[in-house]
Amino acid sequence: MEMTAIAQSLLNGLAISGIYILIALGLTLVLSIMGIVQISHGEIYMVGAYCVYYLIKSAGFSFIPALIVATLFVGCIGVFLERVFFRPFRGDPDRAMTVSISLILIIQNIVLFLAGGNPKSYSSPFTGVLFIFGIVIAWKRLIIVIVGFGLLVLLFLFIRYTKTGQAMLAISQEREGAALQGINIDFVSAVAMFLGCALAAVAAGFIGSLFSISPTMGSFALMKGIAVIILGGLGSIAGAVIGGLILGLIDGVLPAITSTYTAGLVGFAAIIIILLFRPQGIWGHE
Amino acid sequence: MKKIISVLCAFCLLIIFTSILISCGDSKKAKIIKIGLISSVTGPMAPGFKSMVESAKPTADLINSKGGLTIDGQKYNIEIITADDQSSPPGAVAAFNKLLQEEIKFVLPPIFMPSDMAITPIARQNKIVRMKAQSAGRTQANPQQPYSFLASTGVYNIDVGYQYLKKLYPKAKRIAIVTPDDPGAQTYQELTKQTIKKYGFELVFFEAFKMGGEDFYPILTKALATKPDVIDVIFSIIPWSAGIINQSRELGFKGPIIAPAIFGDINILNSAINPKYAYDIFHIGLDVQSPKMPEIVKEFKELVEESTGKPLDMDHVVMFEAVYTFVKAIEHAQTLDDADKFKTTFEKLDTIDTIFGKGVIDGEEIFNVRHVVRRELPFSRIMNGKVEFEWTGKN
Repeated sequence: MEMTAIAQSLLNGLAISGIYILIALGLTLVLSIMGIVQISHGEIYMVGAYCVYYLIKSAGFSFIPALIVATLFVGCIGVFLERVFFRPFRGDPDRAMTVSISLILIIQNIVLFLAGGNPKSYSSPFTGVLFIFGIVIAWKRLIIVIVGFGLLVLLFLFIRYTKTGQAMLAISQEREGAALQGINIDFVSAVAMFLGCALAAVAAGFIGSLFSISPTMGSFALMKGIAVIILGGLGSIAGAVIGGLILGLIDGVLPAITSTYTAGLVGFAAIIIILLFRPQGIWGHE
Repeated sequence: MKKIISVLCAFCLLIIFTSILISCGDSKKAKIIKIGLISSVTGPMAPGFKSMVESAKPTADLINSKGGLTIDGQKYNIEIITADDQSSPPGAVAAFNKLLQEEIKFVLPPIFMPSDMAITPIARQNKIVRMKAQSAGRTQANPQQPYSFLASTGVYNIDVGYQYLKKLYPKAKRIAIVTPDDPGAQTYQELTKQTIKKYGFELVFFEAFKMGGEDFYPILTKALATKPDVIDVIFSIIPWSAGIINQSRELGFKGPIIAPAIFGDINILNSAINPKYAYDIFHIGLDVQSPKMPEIVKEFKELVEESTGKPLDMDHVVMFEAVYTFVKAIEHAQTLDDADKFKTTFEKLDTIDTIFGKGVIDGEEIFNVRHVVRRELPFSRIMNGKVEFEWTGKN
């Protein structure tokens, strides 16, 4: 393979890493840090994409305002879901899982009924490609990488330096102890779900402009998001970066050398091998 | 008192006489013949196949309004009974068993190959006649499948596709094939490779990608490193077609991108690709919005759009075509449930009415059975963001 093609593959891999990190951010907060068994996160992501689509196509919004409105709306959906579906089952992960799986089917079929099954698409305002020494990166992919890393830094700062963020960490370490310290678990959980779902909507809004959107697009996001946070380590934002980079590079580079099947195989094999030696994930805490 | 009893008796006689008259009249009215349709209403394949289910009622209404079918002097209207295969083989088996319980003898099987293969043994065992709307596979039409027929197939499109390629792009020589790794695609892939050789092209790249994802940058990077003049997708569905077109253009590819065995609905595809990249894209497939569609398709379009509130798309028409052809074949066979009689009659036919005019019965060369309908092939191209359409005059 030519050097240009190899370099292009590496760049493809980095762009894919950015996509995976963006997807994993919301899940990191909700599932990984707060321990809310939100398996329907992929469907929330999908709803975010459809919100952006309809705001652009039907309401005439441009991309950024549509994204902002969709983010706020989906964040509010997250608060509703937490209050109605997850709070009653806090501390009962089996029931929470059942509820979450039911939500997948309900949300998917509502969207299928309302929007139909045909894939839809909308364009990113970030058009054109950038040529660097003969290799190409589309601006819309580069923006995803920038946004992904930007949100990652913001999330890190939020968790590290705000009262609510610190409360989230406390809850993730010891829920009862946090409550005894006067932390309002309900409020913090609601904030976490708002932020987690809002991040899913941001991810979906950008990624939906790259690929088509459909009622079943959430399963891909959930699968990749979970793979990233398990590989990187539960409860770790830095781990989400590492996990995203590893899986993104595998998915970007391996198909160019072998085949699309090999990438999937190697990706999951890498997760298994790493977990064998480090069960808490690369950056997770024991 | 006697008078009252007499009046009452006369009244009862009148009612009885009228009832007899009505029931005699009823026997002249159309009876119902049920046709089963298995498709994906739920699950990951639903986005691709829901249109087929949506078109069931408009299809039945239109065919019935045109007289339905007549068997042994008795008129029949059709009723299409749909069953959801839940996008999975076990779901397809459950759906098929549901239709069996309703004693349905004629079924349109799932387009999705694994689901169709799952019901094949039960269908054969129960002598259920299947007419598949669209397919390539020799697994679906072959001597071991006596009751399996194809209303249309993309295999005959490939040669016509390459004739158009040679005519429209005479300087193109190097072909890169980037195609989905669909279990039903082997026949297409073999024929494409043979056709490339036949017309003097050079196959410089071939890869069948794992279905499900839409990021084609890695595979396209590899393909474009071989400097092809043409990218051939062979066949695809809209998200992958749009992904391959958009992403290959982003990576700098400016040549024709083709799918002889169709991309999916060409108008939906056109709306899914970046307008800057909407040029030199063609397939041997329908443009169902074209004014060149036959009158019956235009009537069907009105019914579908009224009933669904959505524009007509290719999958609606594919379903309609299959049911229409199926009904014509049943009428030729003059049987409501005899699969062997249907088979024998079908194989002896030279032509059959389709919604696109006369279809020829064929399939011997590629499938080793005369179980395939070939009708005139369409050509659709996207140039400068607009869809162009013509009938090829070939089938």
